[in-house]
Amino acid sequence: MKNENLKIKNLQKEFKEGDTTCLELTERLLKKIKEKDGEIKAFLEVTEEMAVDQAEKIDKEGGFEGLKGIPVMIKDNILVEDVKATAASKMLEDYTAPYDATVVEKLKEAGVVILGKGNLDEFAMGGSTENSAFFPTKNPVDTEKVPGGSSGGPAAAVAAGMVSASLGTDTGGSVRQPASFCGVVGFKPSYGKVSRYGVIAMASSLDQVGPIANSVEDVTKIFNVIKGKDEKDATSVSRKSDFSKKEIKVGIPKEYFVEGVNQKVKETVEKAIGKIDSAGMKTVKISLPHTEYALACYQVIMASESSTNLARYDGIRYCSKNDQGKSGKMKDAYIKNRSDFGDETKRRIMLGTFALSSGYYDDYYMQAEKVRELIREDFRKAFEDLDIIITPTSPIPPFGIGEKIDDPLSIYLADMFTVPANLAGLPAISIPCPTDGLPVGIQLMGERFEDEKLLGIAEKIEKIIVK
Amino acid sequence: MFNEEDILKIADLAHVSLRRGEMKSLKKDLSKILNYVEKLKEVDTSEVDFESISPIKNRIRKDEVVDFKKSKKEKMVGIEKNEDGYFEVGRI
Repeated sequence: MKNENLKIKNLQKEFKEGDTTCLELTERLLKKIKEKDGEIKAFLEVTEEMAVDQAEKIDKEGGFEGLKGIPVMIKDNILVEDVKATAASKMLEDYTAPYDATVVEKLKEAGVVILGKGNLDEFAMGGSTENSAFFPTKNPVDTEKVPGGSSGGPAAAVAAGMVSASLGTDTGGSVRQPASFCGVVGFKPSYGKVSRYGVIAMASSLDQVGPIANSVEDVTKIFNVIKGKDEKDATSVSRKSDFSKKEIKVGIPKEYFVEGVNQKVKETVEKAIGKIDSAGMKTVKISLPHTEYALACYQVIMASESSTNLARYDGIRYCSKNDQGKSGKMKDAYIKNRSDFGDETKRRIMLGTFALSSGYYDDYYMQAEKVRELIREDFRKAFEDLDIIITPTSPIPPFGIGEKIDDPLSIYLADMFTVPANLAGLPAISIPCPTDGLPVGIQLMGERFEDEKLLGIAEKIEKIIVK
Repeated sequence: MFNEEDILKIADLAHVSLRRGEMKSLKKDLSKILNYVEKLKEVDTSEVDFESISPIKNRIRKDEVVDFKKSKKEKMVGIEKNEDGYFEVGRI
């Protein structure tokens, strides 16, 4: 596998044996970023000075264990103290984070070296990173293609070997889908497993931070550092699961292999499932009957929550334009200060405002919340008799840059298989399948809070499918 | 389907303005998305009862004042004018 030398285990070995120092590695990668990122454009900012200081400090301390000395990228909607956090929006162009997000604080304590901030779709809204207010990111596997999104920068940086791992956020697939498009591993933990404190909010009942890396082992290592209850996020919990079971039962939901799924994706994932079955895990066909409503349900809930979360960008609480307009009226000032949202962000704010507005609330928002409960119930029933569920991560392979930008609904449809895990709060991971062409990811979903069990099974499956 | 009047009303509620020439694309795109989410109405949700299925409790922490100025570093980020720990914003 490519980027073998950037896997955490291999770097730790090099550090311990004195083959390289943390500073040497950091400088080597900073040079690589200079050479490569002009084309890929995964970074919104390279934090060179901070990285070099941190690397020097780590070399002095020694004791290479865990994540110590590991080079990472942080998605730009996650706060790193004293570094800009723009969420790829013009609205936050000049915003510098006054504190660390809890996940960043934990990574810093573990001794990682942050090389920079990763590009994304504005406010994490999109599936291609083309909605970044600054520039689109290219897929390192094929630079004519999008890297997926919204964590396109973090996935591309790992795939291009510019960092060992990165942190993304996943509201409807934004960690798993770009990982799938770039041929790397992306993990979305159960809702509540990882603190969201210091993460720029999009849809609060769906948002979750997740790692992207070169292997299941590496995302597990990062997850183990960032997880846990945080006083600053009331939805976070400290629940843990065990994985010791020998016989594993895998569900294959028929609704995820329907017409409309790209033939190549279908064939690749089915081939992987064949290998899993031959390796001794029991695969069974199942049905998750409300799957076809998941995307519509997600659109309404996500847009509604986003529209309320983004109300804070009004020039008073956030964004420094503070243009009062000519009339001197508060509403005119708001409208003027909110003029820099991108097209996609504006569409979602407007759809959410509509779904929450008087006269439509029950028909759209409440109905979506009820359908969400039925989707949860589908999974609850399925997991009574299963350990994991396997599906394609995305129904389509990476598409061309600019190909779908004029048709927002067609990009939304690419989230079809990733949004159910967010609606139900489940852990889910995307692992690359071997292909002779563009990357294809296989998605594994687990029961809520059974993250450790899912990762344990994922590590086995990762080995099985490459054989 | 949204008409122009709907779009203007929603924009007003959302505190956003329309750029020149944006009406046509917004009307088209939002109508298409609305049309897609209409399918939620097909689902029978008469049996869904939130009270019985969500064992969620509020978690309350102590209501203690943390002085911003005494936090790790004294910071007034992104705000040009500030005084005594207060932000100065424009008149509204």
